[in-house]
Amino acid sequence: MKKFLVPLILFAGSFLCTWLLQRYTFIYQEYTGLFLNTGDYFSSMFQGSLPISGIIGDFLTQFFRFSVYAPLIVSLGVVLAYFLTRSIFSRLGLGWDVLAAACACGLWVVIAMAPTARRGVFVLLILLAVWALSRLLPRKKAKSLPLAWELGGALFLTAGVCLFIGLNPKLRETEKTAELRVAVANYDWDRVLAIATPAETAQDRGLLPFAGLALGEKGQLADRLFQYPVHDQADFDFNQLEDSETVLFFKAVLYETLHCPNEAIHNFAQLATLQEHGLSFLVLRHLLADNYQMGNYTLARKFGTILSRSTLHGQYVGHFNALMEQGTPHAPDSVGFRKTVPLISHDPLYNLLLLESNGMRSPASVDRILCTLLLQRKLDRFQSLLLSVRDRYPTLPRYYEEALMLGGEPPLPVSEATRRRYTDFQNAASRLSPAEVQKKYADTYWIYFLSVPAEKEVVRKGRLML
Amino acid sequence: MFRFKLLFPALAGLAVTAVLAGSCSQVHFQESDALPDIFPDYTEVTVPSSMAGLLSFEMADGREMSYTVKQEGNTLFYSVKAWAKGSSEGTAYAPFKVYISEDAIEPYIAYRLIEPNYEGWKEMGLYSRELASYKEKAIVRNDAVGGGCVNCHTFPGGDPSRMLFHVRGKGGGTVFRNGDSLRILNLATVGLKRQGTYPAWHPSGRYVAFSSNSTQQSFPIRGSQPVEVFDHFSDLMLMDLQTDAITTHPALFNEDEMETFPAWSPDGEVLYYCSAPQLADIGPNRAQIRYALKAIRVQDGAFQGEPWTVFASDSLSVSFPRVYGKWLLFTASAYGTFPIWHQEADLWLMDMESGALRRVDELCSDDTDSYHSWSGNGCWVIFSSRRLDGRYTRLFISHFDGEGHFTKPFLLPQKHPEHNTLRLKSYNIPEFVQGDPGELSPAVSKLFGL
Repeated sequence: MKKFLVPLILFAGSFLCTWLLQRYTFIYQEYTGLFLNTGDYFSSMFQGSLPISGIIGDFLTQFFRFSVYAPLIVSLGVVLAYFLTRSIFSRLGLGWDVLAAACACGLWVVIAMAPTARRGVFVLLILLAVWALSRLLPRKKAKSLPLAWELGGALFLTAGVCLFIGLNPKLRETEKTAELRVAVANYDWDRVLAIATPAETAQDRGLLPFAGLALGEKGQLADRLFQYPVHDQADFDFNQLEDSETVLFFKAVLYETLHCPNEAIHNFAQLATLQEHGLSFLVLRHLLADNYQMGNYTLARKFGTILSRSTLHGQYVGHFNALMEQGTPHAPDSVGFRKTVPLISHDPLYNLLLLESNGMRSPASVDRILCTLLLQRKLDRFQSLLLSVRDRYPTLPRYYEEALMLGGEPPLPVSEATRRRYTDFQNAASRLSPAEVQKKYADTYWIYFLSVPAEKEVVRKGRLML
Repeated sequence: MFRFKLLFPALAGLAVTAVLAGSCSQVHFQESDALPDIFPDYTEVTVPSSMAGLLSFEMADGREMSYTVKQEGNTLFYSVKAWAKGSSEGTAYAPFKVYISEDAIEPYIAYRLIEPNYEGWKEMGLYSRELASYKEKAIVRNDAVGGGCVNCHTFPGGDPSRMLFHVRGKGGGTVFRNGDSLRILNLATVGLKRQGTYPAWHPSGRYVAFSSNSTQQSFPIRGSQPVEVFDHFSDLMLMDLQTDAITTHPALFNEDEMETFPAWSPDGEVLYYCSAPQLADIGPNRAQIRYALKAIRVQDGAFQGEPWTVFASDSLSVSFPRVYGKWLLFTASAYGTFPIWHQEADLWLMDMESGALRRVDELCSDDTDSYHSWSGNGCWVIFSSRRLDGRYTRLFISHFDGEGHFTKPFLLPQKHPEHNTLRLKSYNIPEFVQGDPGELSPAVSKLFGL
């Protein structure tokens, strides 16, 4: 029993630490990973470096989709490393379990720091090979340390790794990003807003567009946008010409929420090209769902068949297959229709207006257009559009009222509270220093309107691949 | 040899039957006059003898199946039995025929494999496939050029020892292969200072006609067409490979017209190409663009006289003219220049002696049917089609009788039929090749200093 105490400590420590501190890191590894039982997958793996550890790593990563599996697999890996190194050391005459525990903790750190499971598997495979070779050595009598020392050492090492994972800024950042992306990919907007708070977004401006997306979906955009530290439109939409993984992911989900699967698929496909396998489970799942939504059942079924070649997608694919059994696929468009379909641009506002004019309105799209106009300080256009959609708002949201106040006498009813606050703001502006006004009215549209430089011109740009 | 090759499907069928005998021995089969609904649909197709043993299929509805093959003359008879897993009832279908043609086909084809995904890419490459087997090999993958794009491969007359392809990206240009020698030349730095796009190798092997296109991809906001591609401008130029001199003709290099898709007549005396008037603001006006088929005489590497119009239509836009003898096969779409993203794109055949023109219904589908190549003897055509799923291009081969008729096309056989579904890449630009082009990746890597 005593010999299982050290591995028990390692197992419990690594399980709890992974569960509590790296849960989303591993879930998101599954999102960006891929394992398919297909000829092309294996052929592609064998063309790359370290194919065996890659394949095993990818296979294990599939299970990370469900939060309990990653801690389990990580802790089993750590314990396996412990037993292997203990066996190797004992062949060398070193009976200190704490040494094996140190090696296992080393592997744990490798796994925690690695972007994929591949590195950890590689280390384990090396350990396995060394262990196999060590069996050829004659057995030596190994001296062990007193149990208290062994247990104390193991506890100390486990706590050390936990502290390292808990305090390492890079790992914390990775976990936060992963948690946000998992929430966004699952349309868990409350969770997104819990992560991307105004205080957090002040520290990490990359969270702002996701906060705006969540606010839009929650119907709170026009009431809360300027509580966040937005400086220009890029804080709302990123730079649309940027092709980074973050921006493509944002745009893909944004267009899903705007009920524009064409552009969502476009961006997911672009995102896939930046991922390790040129594809990922995240992208495949969205390709299936978006093609289903478009009524493109043949293609949706193809993606379903491919997803079925992984281990854990039976239920997911079955769900869509059942929906498609009951649904009706859309017939392909006529040439006449296709000739007239407008083309998307790199200008977010142009695209939003295009969606609107093509009848592709989503609950969030009108607010998104109005808020984009506010961010661009185009108050005339804002006002005329607001007048045309006034029936949507029984009472005007806070920032629409504030924007209307800037244009003189508002053409729509504005609450007495806003009028009073605006008068106070005007008085304060003449009385107080700019810094004091900025501080006092930081969360108003007035401050944004008056103090932030104009947005940079967005240029249309295309790229070519023949 | 011929009989020996046919032994394989017969043995395979018997083996499958034997293996499944246990599972279907309790099944009662109802005779049916219908042909089985199989995937790929190989019923009543004509195949070259070298490929007769490769047809691998399954029931389209996923039922279990077994089959036997019998040969009578040049016809194979496939008798298929199918049953639902666990069911005691099944169907014995009427035998379907596969006709074997004695007309030779090239031993290899070459194509590009790429994700049909919008602007970017991860892995792509030029591949060869032995037609008498399932063997596919990379000629060059894009990791050999630092991840850039490799495209527009062509072989003069299908000669596997000579080849050119473009590399886009850092250090890119046009790679020319001549036997074991490789060189790269960025056409934008020589002659007319214009990058080459679609190539057409003169039958003599000395000249290459290139179009030079400024192309843009755009994305429809809705509907079933995911991508629209159009040129802002394009011109034609002719390169002499002996001197690297690049020449053109005022009618082929101007701001009024866009010229693209060069193709040679088999004797090398006529250069065919597609041409459309230049339009301003092409994106919203893309439906106005229809390319006509034009031609110009060429002698000793020099353009002769003025071009003439071979075919023009106010309802069809022509792409990829390919000539064999008097037969001209081209892709026609309702408008524009990039038919692979046009669902209505079909193959059309023109008898250039009589001027008779028809849509080749026997080859076409409801989805995109596009890039095509003649075999060296004009007996076979290979073309790409999106008929399986509307997105991932697959290759189909059809026999041509020299009288203007094609047989029902058959899908390029794969060892496992499901490979056609599981492969997440499109087949681009299929070309017949007379031998194994070999693997160029190491040499190309060296060329790029990688």
